[in-house]
Amino acid sequence: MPPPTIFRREMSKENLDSDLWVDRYGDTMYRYTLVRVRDADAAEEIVQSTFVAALEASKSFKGQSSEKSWLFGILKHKIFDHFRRTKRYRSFDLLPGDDPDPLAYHPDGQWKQAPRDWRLDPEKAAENTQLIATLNGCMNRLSGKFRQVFVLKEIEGLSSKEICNEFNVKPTNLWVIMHRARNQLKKCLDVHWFNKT
Amino acid sequence: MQFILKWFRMTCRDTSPIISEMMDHRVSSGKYWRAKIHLAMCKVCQHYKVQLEVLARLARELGREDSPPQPEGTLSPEAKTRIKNNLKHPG
Repeated sequence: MPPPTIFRREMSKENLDSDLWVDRYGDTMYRYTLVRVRDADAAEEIVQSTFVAALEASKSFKGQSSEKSWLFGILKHKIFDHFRRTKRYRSFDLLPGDDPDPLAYHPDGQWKQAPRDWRLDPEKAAENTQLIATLNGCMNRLSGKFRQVFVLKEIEGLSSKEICNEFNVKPTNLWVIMHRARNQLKKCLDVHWFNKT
Repeated sequence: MQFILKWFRMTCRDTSPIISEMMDHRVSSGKYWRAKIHLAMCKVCQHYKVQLEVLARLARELGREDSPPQPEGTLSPEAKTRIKNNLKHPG
């Protein structure tokens, strides 16, 4: 049974117990945000601004969805506002100092270090919470540009076209960034997970 | 054999970016068939493809609303107090 909502439709803004919101949903919303934005201060700010917006819009909550999904709906908008703000000062052009492709090949085009069989089914892998935590750690080692593109693609599920249009990324840069980001993450999991198991 | 693969740009080096690109969108039929034929012959690139699929699946799981708790993935008590105070006394 879902937990009772903290406010009823007829409740006034003043009667809302916003402390309960923070206690009940704060951590989940923060975790959801931190995965996307990495910066702890920015994540806290986004969660707070979500609660502020929710308080202001509390009269519009019609009870058709759960309180949690209503709050997450606002949170998702706030995260995207943050992404749009950051694009103003983040260039997605590839620069000489950007993370290189960590994988190397012989002159005949064969892998120098051939990818191993991880012996993992993708669906089974998704049940392993420690492996997911390891990926999270690996994502935090990516540079800001690579991490953000990876998040937009693999976590937010945006199409290549949406990312290119919304964030002014050249299609060829997007492919190169995604390829290198995946290779960095793959290598990181090789080192921090598969060499240990 | 390697010479032929190199000539037709179907080596592992040529194919790995296409495998990555195919995860994201439709690629041209030239790229598609070059990757498809290479994958049919190359066990190692098949492993690579599965590795990318595992990465994608893990990332999707990590991004869910009810994703498993992560280290440093909770608001500190100080942050919670800060937010609560700011909600009561905005501005």
